[in-house]
Amino acid sequence: MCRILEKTILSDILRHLVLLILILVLSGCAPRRILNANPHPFPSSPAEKIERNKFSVDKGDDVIGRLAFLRLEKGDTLPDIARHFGLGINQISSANPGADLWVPAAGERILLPMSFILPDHPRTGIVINLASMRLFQFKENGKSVSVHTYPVGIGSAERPTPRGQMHVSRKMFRPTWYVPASIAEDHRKKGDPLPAKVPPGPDNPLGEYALYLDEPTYLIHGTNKPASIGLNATNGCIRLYPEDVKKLYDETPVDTPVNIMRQAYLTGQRNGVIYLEAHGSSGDSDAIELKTIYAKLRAMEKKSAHRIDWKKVENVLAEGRGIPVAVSRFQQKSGTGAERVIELRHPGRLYGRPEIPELKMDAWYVLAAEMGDKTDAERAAAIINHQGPPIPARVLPKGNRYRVIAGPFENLGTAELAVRRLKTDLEMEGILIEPPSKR
Amino acid sequence: MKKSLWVISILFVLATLVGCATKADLQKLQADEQQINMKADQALKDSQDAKEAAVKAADAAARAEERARIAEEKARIAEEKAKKADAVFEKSMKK
Repeated sequence: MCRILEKTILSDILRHLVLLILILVLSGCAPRRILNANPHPFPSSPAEKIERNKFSVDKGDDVIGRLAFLRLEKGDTLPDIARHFGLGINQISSANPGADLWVPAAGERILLPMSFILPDHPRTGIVINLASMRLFQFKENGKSVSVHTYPVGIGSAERPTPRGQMHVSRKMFRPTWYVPASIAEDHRKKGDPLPAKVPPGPDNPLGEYALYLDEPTYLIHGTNKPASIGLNATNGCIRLYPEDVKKLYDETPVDTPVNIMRQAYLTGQRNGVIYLEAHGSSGDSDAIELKTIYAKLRAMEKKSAHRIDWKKVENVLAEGRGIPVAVSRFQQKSGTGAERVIELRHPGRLYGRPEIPELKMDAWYVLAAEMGDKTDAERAAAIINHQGPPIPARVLPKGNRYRVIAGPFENLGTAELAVRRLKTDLEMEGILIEPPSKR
Repeated sequence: MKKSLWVISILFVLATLVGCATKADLQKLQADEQQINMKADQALKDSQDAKEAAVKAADAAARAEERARIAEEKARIAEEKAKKADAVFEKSMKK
């Protein structure tokens, strides 16, 4: 009797135990499901590093890199941020419309557009897209393809960069610049005559490395004006940051094919998601380009398992921010999804940022401007600092006004040269200030 | 005659009675007039106050509008200055 009773109690306990375990397991699964369904938009602490130039291209993928956010610190300029992260001025300003290029607000969160859709072209040699102002250098390693990408400066509307299939005909370390007649004439008119040739050095606009194209007089070269990368500032040549042209020079053999094209609208896929990247507003482009991109997207939608959000397409084309945007409607369950934007930690020291030497009492200075508005003065100083070769400049408050002081300069000659450059390049009337220690 | 006197006295009484009522009415009327006048004074004062307030409000609105216009103008000038500075910078970046 006692045994029967014991067995009944034991079986009851076991039944309850099993039920309890079942409840615990089920309740344990629920929070996990919630976590998976709603991933936190950013990691708890910002990332330290991000790939800037070198990417491997997965088979079937056309999109490389990723977008990132960065919180600005006091004294940052967008050209400095752009250079540090391997971007051009055009890219950073298009991605952040409304942000002041030279005096952005400290604490402002800006988007670093470090994701790119590869141009619609065979992945060999060097491909330059004039619309995005980016150079892509493809490398084939057996079955995989890697790409190095760098921002570039290109020709102006008056002297555009030629398009078409070319190749590297020769390379030169520390090239001499033979001044073309048209540029010599421009400088003569400005009252800044140039010599017939400029030897290697800080005044040479070709920088330290040059790759000559078979198209006569056109080069891919470095620069003594790094802040010009991402601008239509050349006479048709392709300019790169000094640190980028060195890498390109080292890794590009003579005879490498170079294809220069203009693709304002780029489409591609990554991880099953269709992306669209537009450079410049659709209002500026011709109808044929738009028609082509719509046809391309329709063809991609047909092949893809996902539908395209055409309203989003319209917005991307209208805004033209130069960022790859996922335009297909994807499902979380299918395992596909757009790349997340990461939050980056400010690097502190920015690569290539112009250094401003300390004030010296025995040096010459130039009063470049006096302004009533602090922001205007800070902007002027930043622009002077980013000249090539750089002219150090800072803002000194004087009563309720702000003085933009260039210098220190070792001697009267260099100070006078700065006055000339301020006049010819920036239309500023600089006033010489003799060394404060001089009696 | 008796009859005539009777009628006259009735008329006299009536006239006296009617006359008393007119006096009371007059007093009431005067009181009412006084009250109306007071009300009118108050209304006039209120109206003047309202007019003054409206003028003040309109002035304040005009000042706010002017401030907004000045701020807008300042922002436009700042933007123009920034654009001009950027254009000069771009020009300076040429060879």
